[in-house]
Amino acid sequence: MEEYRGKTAITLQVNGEYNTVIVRPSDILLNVLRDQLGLTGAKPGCENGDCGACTVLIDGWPVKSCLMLAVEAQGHEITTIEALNGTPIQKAFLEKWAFQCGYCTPGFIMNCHALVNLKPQADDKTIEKWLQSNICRCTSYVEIQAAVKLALSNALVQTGE
Amino acid sequence: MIPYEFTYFRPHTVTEAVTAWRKAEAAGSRPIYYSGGTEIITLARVNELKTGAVIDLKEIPENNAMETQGEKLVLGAALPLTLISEANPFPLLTEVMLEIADQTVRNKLTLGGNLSGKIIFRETSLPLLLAEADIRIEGPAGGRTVPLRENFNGAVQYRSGEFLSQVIINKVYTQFPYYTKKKRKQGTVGYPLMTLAAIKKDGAVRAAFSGVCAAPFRSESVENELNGRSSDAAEKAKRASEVLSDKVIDNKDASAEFRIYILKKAIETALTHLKEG
Repeated sequence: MEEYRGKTAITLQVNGEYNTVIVRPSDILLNVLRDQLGLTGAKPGCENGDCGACTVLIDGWPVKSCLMLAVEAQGHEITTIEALNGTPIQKAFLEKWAFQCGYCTPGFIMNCHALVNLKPQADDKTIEKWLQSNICRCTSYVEIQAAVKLALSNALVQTGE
Repeated sequence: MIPYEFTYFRPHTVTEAVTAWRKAEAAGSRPIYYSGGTEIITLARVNELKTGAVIDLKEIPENNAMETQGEKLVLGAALPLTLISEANPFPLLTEVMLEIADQTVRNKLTLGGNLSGKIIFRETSLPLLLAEADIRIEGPAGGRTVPLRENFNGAVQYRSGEFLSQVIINKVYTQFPYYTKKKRKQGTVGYPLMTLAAIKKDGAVRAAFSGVCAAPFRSESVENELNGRSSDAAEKAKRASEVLSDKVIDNKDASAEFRIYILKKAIETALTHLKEG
C-alpha cells in the first residue's frame, strides 16, 4: 500500500515523458501540470468540474484535470493539448473557425480528439452528448460541431471506411 | 486548489484499505474513502468537506469487478460510470447513468461514489432499488452482503469504517421492460428536478424517484397506486402523487407544485409506455 504525506516526489507520465514533481497529496492535477511542468494549455476555468477548460486525457479518455489529484494520476498516461500540435482535430478547428476568444479551445480539442479516436463512427447524438462536457461562453458550438464532423469524416476517409 | 493537507493512501486489497482506515482513524484524521473523487474534490476545494486522510479504493480488484457470476451481475463500486455504460450490462442503469453529470465527469465518477456521495440525488440507486440489488460492504468487522433496499435510507447506510465494494444484480432484472425520464430546470446537464426509473415485472410496475423529495426512494404505497384497478394512467399518477411519504422539495429551482406536476406527467408517460411495451 502506498502512503503519501506532506510534500512528496512523484513521477507523472505526461505526453510520453516521465517527469518528477513535488506535490502535496491534496494538490490538483491541473495545478501541477501548469505550475510545475509549465503545461499551461489546460486552463483553469470553473475549477469545479463544470466548464471543461482543463480537460486532459488519462489513458486516452478525456477527464477534467481539476477533478483529479496529482498523486492519483501516477501510473497513467496523461496527454495535454501541448501534445496535439498538428493533429487532425487541431486542423479541423482551424478550418472551421471553431473558436473565438480561444480560452475554452484546449479543453474542447482534447475532448473532441478523444471522441474521434474512441468513437470513429460517432453519430450526431453522440457528438452532442460529448460536447456537453465543455462550455464555450462565446458560443462557438455550431463551428465546433462542424470541426468534429470534419475530423471524423477525414479519419474515415483515411481508414478507407 | 484544496486549501488543506491530507494523507493519501492507495491500498491494493480490502485488508489494506481497512488497515489504512484504522491507522488514520487512530491518528484522529477523520478518514474518508475515495473512489472517483469528483464530489470530494469539489467540496474540499470550498472547505465544505474536511478530512485528514483519503483512502483511494480504485486499486482494489473487487472494486473493479464487472462480471457475471451464475445468474448474478457483479459491478465493482470503483467502476467509472462510462465503463459500465459502455459495456451496458443493465440497459436501464445505462440510461440513468448517461443523464448524470456530463461525459468527461462520467469518465471519472464511479458507481460507488454516486451511491455514497453527499449530493442528494444518487440516481444510480433507482435502477438498483427496482432490481432488488444486493450490495457488498467491507469494513473493520469483515464483509457483508445485504439487500440495498434494506440498507438504503436515501443513501447507503454504513457502519464506522465501512465502504461499498460491489453491487450485485440478478440478471433477470436487466431484461424487463423499462422507462426512465429526467427533468431538469433547464439544459441537458445538471441535477434533476425529478428523475423517474420504472420497470415492469410480472405485469406490475415498479418505480423509483430522485429529486422529488430530500432523498431517492422507492415506495410501496406509490407502487400500489400505479398498479391499482383504474385503467386511466393520469388518475393513477394523480393518486400516486398523493401518497408520497416525504415532503416534496420546494426551492428556487422549482416549487413543490411544479415538481408534483412533472412527477405526474412522467408517471403517466411511464405507465403508457410500459403498458404498450
